[in-house]
Amino acid sequence: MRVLDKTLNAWQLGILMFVLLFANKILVLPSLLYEGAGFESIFIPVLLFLLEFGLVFLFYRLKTKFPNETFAQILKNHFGNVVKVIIFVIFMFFFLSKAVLLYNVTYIFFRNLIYKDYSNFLFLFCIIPIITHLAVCGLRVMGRTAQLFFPVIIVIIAFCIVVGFFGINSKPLLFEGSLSDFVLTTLKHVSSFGDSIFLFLIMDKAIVKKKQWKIVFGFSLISAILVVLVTVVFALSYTYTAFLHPYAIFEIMSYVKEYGGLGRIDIISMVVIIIFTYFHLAIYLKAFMLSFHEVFRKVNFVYPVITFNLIFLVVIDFFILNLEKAVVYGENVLPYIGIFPFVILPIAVGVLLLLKKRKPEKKDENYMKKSGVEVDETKKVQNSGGKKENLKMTDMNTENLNQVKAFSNENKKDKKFLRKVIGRRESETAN
Amino acid sequence: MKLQIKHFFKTPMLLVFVAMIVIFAFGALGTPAEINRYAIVTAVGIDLLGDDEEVSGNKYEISLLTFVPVAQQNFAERYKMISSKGRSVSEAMDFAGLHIGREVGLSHVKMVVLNEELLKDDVSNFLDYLIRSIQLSSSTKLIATDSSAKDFLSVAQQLDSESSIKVSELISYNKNYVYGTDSSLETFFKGTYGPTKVGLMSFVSVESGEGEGISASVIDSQNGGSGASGGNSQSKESSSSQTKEIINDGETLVFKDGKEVLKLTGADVEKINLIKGNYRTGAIEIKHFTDVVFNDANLTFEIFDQTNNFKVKFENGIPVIYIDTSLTVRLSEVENSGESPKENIELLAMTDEAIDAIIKEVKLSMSEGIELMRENQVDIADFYTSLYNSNRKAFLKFLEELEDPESYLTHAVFKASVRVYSK
Repeated sequence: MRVLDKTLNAWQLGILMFVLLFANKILVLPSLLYEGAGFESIFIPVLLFLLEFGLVFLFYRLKTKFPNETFAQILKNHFGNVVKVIIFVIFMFFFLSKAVLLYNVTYIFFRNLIYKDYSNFLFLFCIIPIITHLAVCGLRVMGRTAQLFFPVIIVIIAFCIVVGFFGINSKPLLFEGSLSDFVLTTLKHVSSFGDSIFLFLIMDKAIVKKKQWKIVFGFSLISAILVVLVTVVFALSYTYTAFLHPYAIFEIMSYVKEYGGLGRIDIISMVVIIIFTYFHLAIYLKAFMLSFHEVFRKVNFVYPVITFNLIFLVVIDFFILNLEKAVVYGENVLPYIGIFPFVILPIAVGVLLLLKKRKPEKKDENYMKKSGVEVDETKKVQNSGGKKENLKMTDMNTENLNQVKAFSNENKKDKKFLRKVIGRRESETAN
Repeated sequence: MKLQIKHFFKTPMLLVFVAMIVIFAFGALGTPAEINRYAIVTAVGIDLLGDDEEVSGNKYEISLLTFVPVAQQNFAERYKMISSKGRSVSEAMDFAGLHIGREVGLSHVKMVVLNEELLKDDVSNFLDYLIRSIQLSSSTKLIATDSSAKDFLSVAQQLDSESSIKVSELISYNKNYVYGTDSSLETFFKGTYGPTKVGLMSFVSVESGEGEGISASVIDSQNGGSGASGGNSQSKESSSSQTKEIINDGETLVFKDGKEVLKLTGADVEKINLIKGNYRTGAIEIKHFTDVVFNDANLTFEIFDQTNNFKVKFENGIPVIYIDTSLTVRLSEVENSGESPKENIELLAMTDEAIDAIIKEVKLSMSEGIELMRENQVDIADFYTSLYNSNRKAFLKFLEELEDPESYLTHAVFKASVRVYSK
């Protein structure tokens, strides 16, 4: 039994994009970037976000060309089943690896700061059921919950950044680091980006009208701007001592509290870290589940959940439960998986977009199939001499009907096209 | 009811929620109150032990001013002092916890006091433990003192209980209103790890008797021991009451590469502040001033705002630093040798002579400040960053040509222009 995901609208998709692009970049990343590339590290997120936006744009192009197909179907149709399975295995590995790092960094942060006597077991107990529940409940539930928390998240982040500006009191040395340092640091942390490939997994569930794409891009842009601002504020607040302060957004607030005299103002930053961690881990688990189903079809949804949680527990328990090991893992192991979102996937999508030259007949049938209109080939052969209809509307459930309506409303040409196809079929049958 | 129970068991998140409550609620009930688990430290003092003590392997003595909660009807904070010795600061901290039977909690530390003896060594070595401690706020004040840190904290403790004056607040006041010296862990390390390698630390002395500082009666202990005997300095025998005072007159220690190189007086700090700029503190005094209003008067102008802009030009490979200063001042005090002026000083327009005299005084102070930095090769105003950012290639070439790259201030040329506005 698979989890039947309902569709996401543009706002929900935009908010999920916001979480995906923001969450894992505000805690230890700014400090590590500064350590590697000096003050110029503020340009690294800018550069990597440009690549990330490239991915989002590729998704947009693919979605426009194949509006109702899943990424798995597209891959299977064009490259074959083996390539599809390989790519989805990499997807699984990618999201699982990132989930391990995200959990470890957050756990170490809270253990060092507040819960130093609480074991990893208790942390997992608070996290795993909730992320599993969010992932199993489906995309729409996740999207709506994120929508609910979004105003809180955005207000807290804006507050942290605005207050953070009060702590700035440094004049950094500009262009001190070498180009090689910059490139090396960028490559080391490339795996912190590329989360937007999640979009390819929910391609058929994302129902975005033509004019609503700006919402998705807008949220992504806001997220990118906020990450860059956090990095800049951190670099200017902790110039030369960034290596002593590993947790960026928390450190910004804790430095400011003395200047502003606002007591434990830094707790606000912890709230946003907790919310983000839940959503981000839930998205990773969801991505793992979706990939798992493409690799092992017809399995119950319990299997991917158990697989994810088991591997997750084994890896975090045996490999990385201190910050030093987590950083080594993040800087030396994970960068290799960055090849997937920024090299392999763009090449695959680029080829798909170039290969998009379908024959009209096949196109018609595909279109109708995906629109919920099924062509009954057997009946067509049986009734070839007669005048009966060879078109049969089957399995047109509400979901598919909505998809057809949404798509047809979006583009009047397609509506005409659909009528034309049906008309042509009818005339062929008549002849 | 049956349906509700069925519904409950069919909703996994409710079960998880109940399980969480059961686990955490019992855990929380069984955990002792944090106040009984942690010693809430508000100040840390570090002393270097003498050679005779070092034989036992101990190098540092730490003193912790610890808040002790006692149930009472009136509002009074009670503090105890705990001392311990160790081969390193972290070991001494562990022993301090052993003496009091509680974990040493550093989240509420407001100041770290260092004995002057320690400053001959590389300060960053033993401050490393503190700056790396995630509990300790990076804005904790750093104070150097000529007496032992332990004595200093005894006086500070007494001062607090007698008058609720906190020494950390004296340092904050200095930063905000008098000399502008920011002496916190973060700024110290930022300076030390920065390109100039210069860090600043406030110096507060402790003297016997009543003088110009703020005094407190303290029980002067004869023994400096601690640790094994229980660590509470107030429980020592053979003690006598004595008046000691804390004197904060703006003295600032300058460190280079973690070692003390210079002690600035309050007047020196004012001169350097005029160069650094962006301060809203300080005063300018003009002696024997005569114009249409005043006759051989001593005038004091209070600085309300100061903005400095640095511009760097390289002329024949030598950096010329232009300091463009804008000062907003107000006449705050007049000592006229003849008759006092009858005009309202608030409404008095500054004459050109007065403005010229201020400019002359400011330039003189600036040149003295620069000379001080040149002589001691300490770039307190961080000209290095301005030079580097203005023309990196030319500056690095200039440094290469110098016999001692550290002496770049000596070979740079300074030109100042001052504009004065009345408030």
